[in-house]
Amino acid sequence: MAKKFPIGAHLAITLAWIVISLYMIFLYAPQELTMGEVQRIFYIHFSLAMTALFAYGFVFVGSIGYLWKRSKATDDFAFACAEVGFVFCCGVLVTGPLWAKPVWGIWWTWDARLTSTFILWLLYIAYLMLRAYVTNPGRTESLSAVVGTLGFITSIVDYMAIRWWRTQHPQPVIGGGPSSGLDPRMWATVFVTWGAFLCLFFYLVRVRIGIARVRREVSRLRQQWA
Amino acid sequence: MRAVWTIFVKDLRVEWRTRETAVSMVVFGILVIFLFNFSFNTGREETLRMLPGLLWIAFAFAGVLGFNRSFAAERENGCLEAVTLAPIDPGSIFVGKLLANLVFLGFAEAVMVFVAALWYNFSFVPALGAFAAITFLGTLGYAALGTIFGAVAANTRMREVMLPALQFPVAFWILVLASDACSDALRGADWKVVWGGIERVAGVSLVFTVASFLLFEYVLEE
Amino acid sequence: MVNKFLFAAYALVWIIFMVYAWSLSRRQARLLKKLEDLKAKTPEGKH
Repeated sequence: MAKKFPIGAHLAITLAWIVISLYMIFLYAPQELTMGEVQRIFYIHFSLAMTALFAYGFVFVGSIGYLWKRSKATDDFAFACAEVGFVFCCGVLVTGPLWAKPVWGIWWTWDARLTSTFILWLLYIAYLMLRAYVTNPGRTESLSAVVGTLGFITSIVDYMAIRWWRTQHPQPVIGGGPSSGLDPRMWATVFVTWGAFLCLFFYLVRVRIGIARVRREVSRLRQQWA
Repeated sequence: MRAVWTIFVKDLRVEWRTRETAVSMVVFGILVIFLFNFSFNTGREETLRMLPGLLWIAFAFAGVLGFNRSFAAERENGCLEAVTLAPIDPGSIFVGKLLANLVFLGFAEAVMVFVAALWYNFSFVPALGAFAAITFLGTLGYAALGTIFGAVAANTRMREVMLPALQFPVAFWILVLASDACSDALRGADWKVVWGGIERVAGVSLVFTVASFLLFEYVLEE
Repeated sequence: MVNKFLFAAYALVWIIFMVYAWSLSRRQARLLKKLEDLKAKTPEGKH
């Protein structure tokens, strides 16, 4: 893939795409009637959230791929997606309350969606902590793959349990907004912005995988010396 | 099958000699319940509504304590490597350790329930069947996760922190659904509602138990 | 004046990504330098 799509071009396209998105967010999309200017946070909040969610799915794909094929490439991919996904998830938790406070008057609530997002954040932390603290270097990949798999199963269970929970418990009226009555220009903006963030995500993952490879090369050379 | 029994009995026997794990789990659990009593300034009505949640929090913390110790001992004595080298399939090791963890946690839970019944003047007897079923199923899933994460954490530097960090986000729904179901059972809800709760806990616990069983070999290998 | 929440949200997201990008670039630079050092050692001296 790297040969077909040079990373420099990837970066250029990402930056251009982001600029286009920003233009659409601030100059093209109309202002929302009830929420006002603050609603423009939604475009990046949504993009960050969807990407963070998918990212954990990629962590799972990489983890299962590693357990099956034992290739370093799949492990690199899993780790990179976890790290970058975590950054995106932090972005979600930052933009969410900043949007919620002016619009709904509260910073946070334990409604279904927010609770899942927080759990997802914890799952990222669990994975990254494991990566940082494993003492035996030969075990890291397998152990992480196991955790990545269980974490992904958790997010599936989470999704289903929350759908059930919603039918049982009265939900605070929050976040009902995004898909209700969006102007087509807003939809276009949503998709363009989401695309930009996905592009950014994959760019960062590629850089991160590159670092993993160099690190392995360094260890290999060091061992030659030892 | 014999391997499962061997490992299970070994863990029980080791524990019987020192009784460290079971005692610390019980003491810790009771302390949690005790502290909760003073954290909230509520009347009896509200306290009773919070009781199932409180119990499950106590179970959760006691459990993590127990799972940590269960693998810490193995690690210290190099038993983990020995067991891995022995011609026992990882599945059997998992089940053996899971059963041991279940016994320890189950025992601790029983004591905690007894103490809670005493302190809150609350009788669990009317709903005992449902309560016991929910608690068993929830503990099964929880212990399965604790067993595999205990083994994972045993390979890390900060294992006392690593295990809870892994366990709590993943086991979250087992705890919440179990607590919710117990709440329904204890307040004498319609049996259909309670049965729904049992089914949900069973479903989620089963998913995690099977997943942990299948993934365990990857934790032990090498 | 721009809505302060809107500004904060975009500013913080920008900062988060900049910090991460900086962390990546620092790691990369350090590793590449180490790689160069190790490669330079290999042809000379070592059997």
